[in-house]
Amino acid sequence: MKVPARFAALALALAVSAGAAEIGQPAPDFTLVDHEGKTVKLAELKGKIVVLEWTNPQCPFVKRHVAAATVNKLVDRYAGKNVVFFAVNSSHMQDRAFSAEAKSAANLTYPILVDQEGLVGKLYGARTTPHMFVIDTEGKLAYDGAIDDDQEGKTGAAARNYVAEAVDSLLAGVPVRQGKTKPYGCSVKYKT
Amino acid sequence: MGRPPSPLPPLVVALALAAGSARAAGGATPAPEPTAPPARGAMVADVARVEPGGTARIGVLIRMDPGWHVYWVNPGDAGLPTRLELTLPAGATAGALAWPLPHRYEEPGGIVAFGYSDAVLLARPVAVPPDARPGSRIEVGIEARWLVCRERCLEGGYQGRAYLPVGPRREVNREAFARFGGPLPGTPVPGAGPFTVEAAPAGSGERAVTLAWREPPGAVEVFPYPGDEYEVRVEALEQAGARTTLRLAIESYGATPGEVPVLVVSQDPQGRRQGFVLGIPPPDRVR
Repeated sequence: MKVPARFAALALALAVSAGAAEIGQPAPDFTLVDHEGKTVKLAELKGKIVVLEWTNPQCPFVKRHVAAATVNKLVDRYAGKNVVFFAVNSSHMQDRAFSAEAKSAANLTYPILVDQEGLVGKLYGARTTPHMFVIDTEGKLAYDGAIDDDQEGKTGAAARNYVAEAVDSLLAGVPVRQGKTKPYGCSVKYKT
Repeated sequence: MGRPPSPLPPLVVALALAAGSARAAGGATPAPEPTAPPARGAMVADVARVEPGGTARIGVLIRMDPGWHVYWVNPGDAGLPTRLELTLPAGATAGALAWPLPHRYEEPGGIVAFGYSDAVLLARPVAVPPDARPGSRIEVGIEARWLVCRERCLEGGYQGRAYLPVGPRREVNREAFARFGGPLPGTPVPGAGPFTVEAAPAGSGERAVTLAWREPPGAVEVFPYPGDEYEVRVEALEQAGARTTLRLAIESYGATPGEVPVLVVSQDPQGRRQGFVLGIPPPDRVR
């Protein structure tokens, strides 16, 4: 007996869950302008380890990490080791001027790339702020997930930092043990 | 999802309250934020007096401005589960947080949130020791923390202290608990539940089952419970009359999970919801 089915599949085509970033596969290329108007193209960064941090300066999780200088400390840790850091802001209501002001107020030691249309965020499947991606020197995605294991902010500096673990492994030439974790944070504020 | 406006019933009858404080941290940023916290907590109990050896449900009623939501035990793709902790004297124990059936919110970009809007009452059952002295008071510390979001997210919370007299049981706030503290999920009795579960074909990294309902259920939603080392996404929910086919995508960050618990919620044409906890077994174990 045939019964017409009301198919309630979730709209995946435009959704973050259909993001193209897979561990071990080439990370999606992008060209974005940073908070100062300088163009950054991922393909030109081959040969470096690239760390991307999806951000929203108004999000309490991001604010907590800004106060703790979590990513600034990583920038220091890997200085001179051919590792580059970028924040990516896909919040639809925050323009380049906002990101420039926020970077200065937060004393970030790395640029913020402006992705107001949200296209790069969706390419990567970025869903939280922060949501971290680590790309190896060949341009392949090596880590996708949470910045650390301390969602509630209880362990602070003693938290297990998944980004540091991934970058350390890449620098040592050994496989990244934890390639994916569940990211935590506020939802990325896409336009559509 | 909208409730008809009506005055809330009187809360916290006859509980002596210490000053509670609602914390909402926004921080100084260039963009404007709400001038008043969009979510406000108030402590609440289902008894004004509890008998020795009895149980009191104690917690917080969170009221929110329109469009804002706080999160369920599994917040979904982002967010933070709401927390409720009780501090009790020796001999009294608090049980698990009773989560009313959540709602599903889809944000731009297809980001899915599970939680509550307008108002929600979260409480824990407190077991009072059988040797509690009639005429004495049980001191309960109540602390709730949440993330409340609309187009931006703010942290918030409630802290309070309640003094619950011991004596002949007197129940209060029945309407508040019924309206905002429920419905609560039920666990189907095997052989007597609202549906039977059948295997359905599934691809790798997926689980699928078909629920054959005793009676056509109306609208059905599925909410996965959180896992320590895995994440569940509802990929498809097909409904045909009294049969619901459910396909889940399982992302494992560690060991492959055994049974994956989900909450199946049905809503009748009058809008009444019922929820049932169901464990989805691995494909080789579905009979």
